[in-house]
Amino acid sequence: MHIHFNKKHRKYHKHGGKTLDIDQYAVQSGLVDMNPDLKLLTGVLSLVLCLMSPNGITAIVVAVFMLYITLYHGKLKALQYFNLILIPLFFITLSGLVLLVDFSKKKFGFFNISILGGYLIVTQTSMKTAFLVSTRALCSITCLYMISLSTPLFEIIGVLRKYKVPEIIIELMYLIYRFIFILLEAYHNMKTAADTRLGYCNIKRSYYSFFGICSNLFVIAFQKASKSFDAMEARGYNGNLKFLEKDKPVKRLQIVFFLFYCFIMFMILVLERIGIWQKIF
Amino acid sequence: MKKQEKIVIMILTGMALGFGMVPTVNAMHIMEGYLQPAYCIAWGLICIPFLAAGIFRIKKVVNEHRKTLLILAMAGAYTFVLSSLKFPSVTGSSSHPTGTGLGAMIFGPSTMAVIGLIVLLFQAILLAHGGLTTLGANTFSMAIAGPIVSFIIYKIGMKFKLNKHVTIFLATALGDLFTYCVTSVQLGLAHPSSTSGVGGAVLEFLGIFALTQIPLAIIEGFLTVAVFIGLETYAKPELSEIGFLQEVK
Repeated sequence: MHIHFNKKHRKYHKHGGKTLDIDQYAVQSGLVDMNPDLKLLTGVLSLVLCLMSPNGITAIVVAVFMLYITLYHGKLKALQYFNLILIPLFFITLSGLVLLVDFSKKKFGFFNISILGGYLIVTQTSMKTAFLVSTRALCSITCLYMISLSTPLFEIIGVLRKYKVPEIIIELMYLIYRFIFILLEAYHNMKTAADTRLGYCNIKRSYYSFFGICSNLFVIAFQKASKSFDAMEARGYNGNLKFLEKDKPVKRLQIVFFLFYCFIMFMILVLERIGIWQKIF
Repeated sequence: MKKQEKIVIMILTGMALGFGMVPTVNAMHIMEGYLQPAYCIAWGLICIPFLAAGIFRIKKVVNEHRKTLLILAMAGAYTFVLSSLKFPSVTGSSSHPTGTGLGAMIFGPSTMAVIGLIVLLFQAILLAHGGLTTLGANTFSMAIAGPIVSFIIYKIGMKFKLNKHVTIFLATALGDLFTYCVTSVQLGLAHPSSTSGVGGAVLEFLGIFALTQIPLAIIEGFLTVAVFIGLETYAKPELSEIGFLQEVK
């Protein structure tokens, strides 16, 4: 099993097709040399700020800042980012719809459709809630993306290890992360093999191939696990996984910038919560 | 594969086709930022006892057989990969950690809660399904509630000696449906409707997600049966070697 992480190798050789784009972008990010603790702290703090924001104003300011970090300092292309945002958008639209429309026996609100002896209605409050919740969700996603598009997963695990997450979970995480690539590669090999033999020529065949491949993949997973264990034991594995980690110290300027960001955001949040915006507008 | 198994898979495939036309999309993870802080923390706290039980159990099993750790890790990776694959002729992947139901039947629900948590964390970071703040809520619905239902149904089925494949299908499909009910309740609790309260909101969420979740549950049920057939045929020695699979025999 290959334990060492090789940046150059991953940069030019992509495992698992397009499935793990985010992982790929994270390794190539312009922020990859930044201290992972600081990135995680910024991201999580921003997330909390988004959730605490009562009118969504703080959330929007946070989102703008997160976009700036990810796109400008992270050097990610806007189109790539847009494609990633489409993933959660479906959920947001669907749930937003549920929040927007209410079911009622009485006819009121400024928009209503009669259905099943009642009315589907849209009211001012429901519109406000739907808009607010969707904004907050969308802004929170920019924070999540800031973390996941700038910090490779193994570094996130490293941070978790530092903060005393049980060792058994950390080990499982490291192994699962590595095994994902093995399995994705096996899957793509089998899929290509099935495809060249017209395994996906119609829906019936596709499902037959898909089910067969998935069940075969499970078997392969077990066999690979066995083989990995033998390989690890042969190299003196005694229940302890250790990895080389590059030391990434925090720069003084970054700390200053981070504190400044916290201060500004905190002020905005406080102002928003005491309702200063309503007084101005 | 034996001829009989081929026939079974063919039948399963045929039945899955009917539902395959429906555009399923990954919609059942609660997105980042969708729950208020109080709910995030509360759902997280509810998960802790299950996770603690899982960690103790994994530790105990791993101390007896070191190899189990790798098997569990592979099961986790498989669950992740399966959730990221696209179903043929359907837009979008299932994105459910489908494997958790199967894993609960093989390894027990408490073990699977821990694996499920890791898989959900990875899904949030690598696939943007779900989120960090909603991790607790998602873990409860997908890695704890659903698998427990699957496990119980599987146990009942085995006790009354029902057909194994039918039992597994029912266990997975009903576990999935239960997951979807729990998620709807979670969303309804967090965002009650202004006219009809929590109950109304839960019903609305149930209604709108039924479109994608009911066909998905059926496909996943068939898929799990297919995987199980493969497992019984080829991976039995690996599993029985490390002390699992007494239940599967």
